[in-house]
Amino acid sequence: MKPASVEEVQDAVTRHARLLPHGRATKPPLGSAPEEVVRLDMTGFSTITEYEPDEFTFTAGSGASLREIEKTLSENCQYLPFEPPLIDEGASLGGTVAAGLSGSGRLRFGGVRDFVIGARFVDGTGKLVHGGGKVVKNAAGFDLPKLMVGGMGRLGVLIDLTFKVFPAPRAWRSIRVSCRDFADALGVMTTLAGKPLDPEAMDIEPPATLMVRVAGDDASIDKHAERVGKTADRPYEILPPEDDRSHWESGRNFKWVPDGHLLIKVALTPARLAGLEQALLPADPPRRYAVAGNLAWIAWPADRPAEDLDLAGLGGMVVRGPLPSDASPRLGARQHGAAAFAKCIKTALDPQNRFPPLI
Amino acid sequence: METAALFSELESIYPPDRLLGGRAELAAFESDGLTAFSVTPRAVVIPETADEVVRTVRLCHKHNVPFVARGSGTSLSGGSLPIAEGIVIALNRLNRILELDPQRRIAVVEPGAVNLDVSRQAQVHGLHYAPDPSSQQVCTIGGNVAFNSGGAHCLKYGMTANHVLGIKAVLANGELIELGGDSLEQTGPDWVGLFVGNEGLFGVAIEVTLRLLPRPESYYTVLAGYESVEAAGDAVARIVSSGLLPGAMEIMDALAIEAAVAAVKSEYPPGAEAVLIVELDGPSDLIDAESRRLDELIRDSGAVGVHVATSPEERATIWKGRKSAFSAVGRLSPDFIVQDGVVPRRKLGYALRRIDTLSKARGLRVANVFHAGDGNLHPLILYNGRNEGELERAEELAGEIIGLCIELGGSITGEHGIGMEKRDFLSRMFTDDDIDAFRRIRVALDPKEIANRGKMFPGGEPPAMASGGLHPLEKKGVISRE
Repeated sequence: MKPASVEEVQDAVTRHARLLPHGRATKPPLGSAPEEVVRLDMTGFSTITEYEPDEFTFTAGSGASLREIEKTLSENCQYLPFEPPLIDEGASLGGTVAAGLSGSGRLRFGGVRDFVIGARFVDGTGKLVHGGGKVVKNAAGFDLPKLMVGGMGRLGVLIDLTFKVFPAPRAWRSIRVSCRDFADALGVMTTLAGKPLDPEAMDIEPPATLMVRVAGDDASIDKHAERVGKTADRPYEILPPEDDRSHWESGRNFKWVPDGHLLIKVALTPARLAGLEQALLPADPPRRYAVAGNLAWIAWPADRPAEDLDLAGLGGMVVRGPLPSDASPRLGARQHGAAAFAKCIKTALDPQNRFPPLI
Repeated sequence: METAALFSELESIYPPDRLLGGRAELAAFESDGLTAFSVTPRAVVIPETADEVVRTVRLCHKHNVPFVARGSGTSLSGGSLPIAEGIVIALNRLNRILELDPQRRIAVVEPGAVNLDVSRQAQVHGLHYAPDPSSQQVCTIGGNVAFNSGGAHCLKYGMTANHVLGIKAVLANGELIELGGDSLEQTGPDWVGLFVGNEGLFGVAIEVTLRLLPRPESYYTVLAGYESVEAAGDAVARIVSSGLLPGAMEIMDALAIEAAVAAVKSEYPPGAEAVLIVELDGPSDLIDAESRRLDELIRDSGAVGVHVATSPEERATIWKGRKSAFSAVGRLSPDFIVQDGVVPRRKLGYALRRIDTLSKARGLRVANVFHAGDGNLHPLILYNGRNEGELERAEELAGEIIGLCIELGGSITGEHGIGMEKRDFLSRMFTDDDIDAFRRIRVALDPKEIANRGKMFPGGEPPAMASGGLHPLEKKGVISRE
């Protein structure tokens, strides 16, 4: 069902026992539910309702296409620094918030959670609730916009969202550093990450390639890129500007993930990276380590048993790929420390369990 | 409420020197940074371990006695004002930095750890903790987390919420929880994001994991004088729309300048009715180029005098003038109220003109020192509480200014929180259904509503008014306000 107004969403929430919203369905495994649900197609809310370039904020419907939003922003030399993933596939603003997904660019200024400043949603009681605001700095009320990040549509149906944006850098450069092996790449990454070089992104492409992206003024960017390369103290090349863009675009749209594979997100720290790499080596799935060792993306063949995937004690989430609709997208370890908190919040916003359980 | 039963159980946890009940002992906890209000709690406990905090909260829950967790008490919204029938949990002794890992670039700290101490300890690794409220020399991370504190560098770096990765806490219902972790990323709801800024209504954070950033290599700090606040505001708009992303952009008006000159001997361009401080930070090679663009923008913005800091000492002097401006303005008047509204940046000039008109209509002076880069105003309303009706007029003026911020599409608080002070304004920014959702969350985590009762939500009896004036620490020059 495809509601066209807030009232229709409220009506749907109060009339159906079980329902789950979705945007442009680019991450089907996150829509999994243990039982039959009415699916709410939110693409009827696709308009950029407010955009004041001088204010560096915009408000758009949850179903709005991020590609459209990025296009509008770039016409005003602005951008979302966290590089929302899957925009070529049609990812929506609300879906990206609900999935809590950020790309490699979240390293410098933060992820989707750091840029969402306001949200309106219909909660499980059918009420329209608004949290946050439309100004870049705001400490009034509980931070419900952040709560919506990673909620997978199970805490409320997002109607629209307000984001802050940043001025786009005038120039970008990418430095491809060829390290000796994985351990060496990890060492070089750690060194660079601790230095005041302000990289926008820093990814390891196993086995031994470190990709660093920097941004700045046309007049100084080449010098800065050279400096990063020299600081790495390994053989490096600076990509031509046109390849810089296509490299990161390909990355965030997961062009490197083969067909028939599940795409798995793992949150981790640089200290756990060597362990994860070691655990993955025997199966050797295609993979990338983004955000200076805080985010792993693993492509796993859908026809291989998921039990064969060793995440070295970490937890993963299947974001894309052919997963049965009743299968949980969660893999590996779960963190249980938040369970009591989660239960309270879920009950507060959705007392009758109109939405499926949190995942 | 079973206060007597609670006290006898508290006596089994705390020795007498950490369980305070005498009138004189309690006096130090009666007020926070919102000095106009004062409440004497029934008792103050001073835990030294997280376990003592957990046991105390569980006892409060069991006996239905409200509590206020408090760090250094620098809240400007009355966020740590005690509850008359409750206890204060003073967390200053839980001030350890438990772990500081340069490889993961994180610090794990207790809630009473002082904000600036984190950066001081991180400094040897070339790292720092970015959020820098003006009270950072004494304010604690626990308080920063509860109120999502800001500072001068929010435009580029965000607020406290953007730098907290994990929280261990005891909820008001006695449950121990662990939210987030030590990664920048997560694969579930952003519970940490919800917890930060809860104004002490969920429970007490007992351990906080903070993100550390490399210290900027280079700063370029410019102080420019303007003939009017509007002209300074226009310069801000010009800089923001140029694509530069300064670490900080601050404006002080004539009254604030006058006070800063008198208090810290700051020097400002002659004839300036307003000064703008702009600071770029980053790698030196990038800042070189950006500073030339900034110079051009300032030159074309009609500045009447420009001073560029050429040494770390000169930079420190510029910031000292700015950070002490509020306390300095406070010295011009026996009492003052600090406001914290936010307006859309493009409406800054209009908002300042309206504040001027409102101030004249009420016959009260208002000084303005504010974070211009993100539209966060800090009008400081000067009054004398001894003059009949003046406090009431000051409060009415404060209400009108908050109303103006809402009218312009902004917020009633940028970084100080709702606390006790602005709870009756919450319903002007949020609908009944919004507030009902806040309440449902609060009650789910704290069914007896014992954690920081009386804060954030509208209603309730106002606490007694105190004499007002500067916070004792401000008088000594230890802390200053945003």
